[in-house]
Amino acid sequence: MKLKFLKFFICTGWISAVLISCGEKAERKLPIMGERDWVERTENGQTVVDTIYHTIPGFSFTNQFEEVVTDKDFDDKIYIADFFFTSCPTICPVMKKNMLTVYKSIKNFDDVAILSHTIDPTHDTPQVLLKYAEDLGVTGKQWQFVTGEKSDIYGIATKGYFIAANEDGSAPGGFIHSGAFTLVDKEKRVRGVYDGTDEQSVKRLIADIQTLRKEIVDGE
Amino acid sequence: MSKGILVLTAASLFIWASCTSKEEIKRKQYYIEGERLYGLYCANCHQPDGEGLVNLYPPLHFLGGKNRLIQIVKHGIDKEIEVNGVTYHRPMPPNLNLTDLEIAQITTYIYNRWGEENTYTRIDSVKRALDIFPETDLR
Repeated sequence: MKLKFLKFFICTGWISAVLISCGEKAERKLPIMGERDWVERTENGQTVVDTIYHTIPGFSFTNQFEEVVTDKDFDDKIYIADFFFTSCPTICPVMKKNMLTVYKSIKNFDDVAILSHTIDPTHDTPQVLLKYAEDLGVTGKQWQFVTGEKSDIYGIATKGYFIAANEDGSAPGGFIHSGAFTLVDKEKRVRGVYDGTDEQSVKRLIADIQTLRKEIVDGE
Repeated sequence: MSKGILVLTAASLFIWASCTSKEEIKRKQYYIEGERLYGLYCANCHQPDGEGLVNLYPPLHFLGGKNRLIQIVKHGIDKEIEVNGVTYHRPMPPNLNLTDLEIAQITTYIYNRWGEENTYTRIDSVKRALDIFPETDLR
């Protein structure tokens, strides 16, 4: 009889452990990426250590409607950033096809946005970007296509979003860049970097956007 | 006499069969190699299933003249093109490094998959197509 009870407890314990670990998985938090720093401050006579996370630096670019877009416009938004150019003969079409899937998945969420930077600002003027957006079936401002100073764009790609982007005469199309999509939270912290040319990776991004939205609601 | 006819018929049947199977083997070879090349040179924009990408890049499901397609595969195109009632105006880069054989294989793949063709495109046809059109026709 005792043995039976023991078995029962072990069994239920095991089942609930599985259930709990399952639950934890479903509500997993996304990592906060990049280098971090710590500062000490005194609160009520006690020393408290604060973690300073890597955040996206301030920026000012011009979108497809010839409007100025700055980091302030993304203060309360989760957003996905990427780097491309409209005449790209290699990975960009695949990236844009996959970003279109992301775009369709966030259509109903006004706290999520997409920011695509051109790495060929000489050719990709706001007019060219607008035509490109229209041909892609993108209307409105949830998905913005921006241009700006070359140094600003390449700088924020590498230092802000952990994406390689630069000019390279020997590369097809004249530019070298990675096809990464970077997920940024409402505090401008990087929460994920995905391969924009890979369908599976993009599927994970779409799921992670919803995890991030939930995390923020939970935190409030 | 009747034996002779029988042998003759059998022989010609055999020759005919081996002939068509040779053609069929070649078609398959061109198709398979064409599929690989399509993935390498075309699928980025026209997509693996040939449906294109919204209004940026045209689908390959509405094929017109083969000569024109061969010309565009080789030299690209930098002027508007209308496909199935939609006008596309993004330039396609040239693929000058492709050989006539490779273009024949790509064309075989495209016309067998989406053009209801079941023969292979010969290298001669590629050569001829490239001779017919002046390159300036595409700019």
